[in-house]
Amino acid sequence: MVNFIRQIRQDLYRTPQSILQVLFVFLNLMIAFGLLSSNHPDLWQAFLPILLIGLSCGIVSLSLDQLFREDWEDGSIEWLMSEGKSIEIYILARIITHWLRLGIPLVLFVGLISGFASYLLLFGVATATLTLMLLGAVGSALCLNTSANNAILLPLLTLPLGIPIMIVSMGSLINTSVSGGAFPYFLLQGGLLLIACALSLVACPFALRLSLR
Amino acid sequence: MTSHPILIVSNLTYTYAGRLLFRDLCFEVCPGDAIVLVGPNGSGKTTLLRCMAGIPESRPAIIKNKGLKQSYVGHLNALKLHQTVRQNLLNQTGATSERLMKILLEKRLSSLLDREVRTLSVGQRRQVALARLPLSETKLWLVDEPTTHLDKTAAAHFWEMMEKHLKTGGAAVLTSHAPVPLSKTKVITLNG
Amino acid sequence: MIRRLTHPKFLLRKGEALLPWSMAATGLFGCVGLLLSFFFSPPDYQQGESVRIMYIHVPASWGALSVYTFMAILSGWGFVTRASLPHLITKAIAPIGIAFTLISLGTGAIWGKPTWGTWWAWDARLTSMLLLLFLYLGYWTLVTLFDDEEKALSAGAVIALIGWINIPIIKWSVEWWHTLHQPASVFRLAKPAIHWTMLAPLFSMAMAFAAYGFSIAVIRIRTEINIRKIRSHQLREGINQNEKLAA
Repeated sequence: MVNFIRQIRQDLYRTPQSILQVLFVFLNLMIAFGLLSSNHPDLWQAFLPILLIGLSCGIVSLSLDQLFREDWEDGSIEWLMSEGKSIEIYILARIITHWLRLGIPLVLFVGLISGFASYLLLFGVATATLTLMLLGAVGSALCLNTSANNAILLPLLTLPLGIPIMIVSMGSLINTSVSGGAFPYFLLQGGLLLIACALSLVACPFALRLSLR
Repeated sequence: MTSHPILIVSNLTYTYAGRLLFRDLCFEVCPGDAIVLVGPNGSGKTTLLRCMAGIPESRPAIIKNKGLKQSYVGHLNALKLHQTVRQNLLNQTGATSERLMKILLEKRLSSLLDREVRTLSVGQRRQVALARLPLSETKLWLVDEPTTHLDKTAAAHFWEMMEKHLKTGGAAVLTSHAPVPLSKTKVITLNG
Repeated sequence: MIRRLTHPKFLLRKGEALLPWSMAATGLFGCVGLLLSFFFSPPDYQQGESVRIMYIHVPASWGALSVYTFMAILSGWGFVTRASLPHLITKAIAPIGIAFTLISLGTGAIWGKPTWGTWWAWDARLTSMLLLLFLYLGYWTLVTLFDDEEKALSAGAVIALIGWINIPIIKWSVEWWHTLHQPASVFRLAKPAIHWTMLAPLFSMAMAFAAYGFSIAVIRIRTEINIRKIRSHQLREGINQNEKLAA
């Protein structure tokens, strides 16, 4: 447990260069869309939540390559394996710090842009990004040691896994705007998150070991 | 040496990508042993070392004593660049501050203690990584190419440290291209 | 007997014994199915004759989904029993699934043009089938990318197993969004909602696709096992030569 907290604390201090870049792109896109759709506010109202979730998921999947890359390149993952300590703690700490640095700002931005109107939207962005990071971490771990043509492999592995997540979160928003009653959708997304957590913590150590061969 | 071996390699066979690296390799590591793996590039020295270190998973052909503690310093230093030397070493080994000071004084590295690793030269980083070995107080040291990037003084310090470790009952497995100036070594040659 | 299936020789013997039967079944069911679908099934009152594409499109879709399910089950089995043969079989049947998915998407587009006026629509089932194609392609890219065969197969198996979550979502998505596709009308617990004149050719073509898939699977598994045998033989030859040189 101590190791876990320590790992999180260490990672949080790191200067998040790539993350700021990604958030900046997001902000730019939102401003562009906002300007363009100022003529059709109704269209904007209906379309906005879906767009926000889609963009958040897209941005998360772009940033997944960096999840383990730095620790791989300097040999820390290899060293951790040799120490025989539990690698799951490391993986979980890594994913959680990544989410704290990328997911929470995304939730805040989405909230600001949508005026904090819909809690389901904010919850949706938070859980969808975390679920996507958990499942994408497996793909990211598998791609660590491959040679050329890496650029297409990670999105190819992650996006098909991410689409059900997006379907669930977007579908929840659509259905509640039509028929109300948001509570089951909170449960559904939370359930998906728990499944992803379980799957990821079993598959990620295996994937890291595979890359180390 | 008639003491019990602390690590036994028995019939280790390793193939990767259709190439056979070793077949039915057998040897023992006893306390006080320094085993040096030599061979041309690509002959599998690093792979053998990693197998013994249990990367990525422990193999049935490598039998270690129960509770054997090992330290591994690989080809990459595993140092976090944005942290200081002190933070790196304390986090990685769980040693106390006093012990850290003592070891680094011996290695003449104490002036580097609070500098960030990214400001150090390649040789200094290697010295910091190698400082992990005595700090962690483990019995078995597994080191891959210890003296790369080290100047003569630093290399001499490292071999001194190694002699001390072997005298106190520790064991080490190294790979090296350069000659190893230790008093007694067992050499295992791997062919291409 | 299930245990013994993890031994290549046993598996091949059983498979090759069934192979001529499954090829015959493919031919038989295929002919019967095509005959029934062209001459004995009624044209749709709205779509006219073009509904007959359904008899290829639907079995292909079922086939694509089933093959992926098999791949997931085999991957799980491979991880549980730590045998490498299930992973090899997964790799062997993957191209069959890819082919079925492409047939489904292609015939779906051809069917869609006269029926809905468009080659493609972002409908739940269509998009899910496209997604399935990407899952297959991701698996195939991963499996062919690594140098080490065992590593490649294990990596692919992880992806196949995790990606299988998409299949139930595909099934449910039809109920969540009642869009262009009709709701499931065959696999219902009550009596199937379609008439037997359409059910018979559909069933027949489904059996034909299944038998075809089985035949190709046996042939491909045989090929993969032979490739593996050749590689290990080459390895042994290489070792013997090295030993001769060294001696």
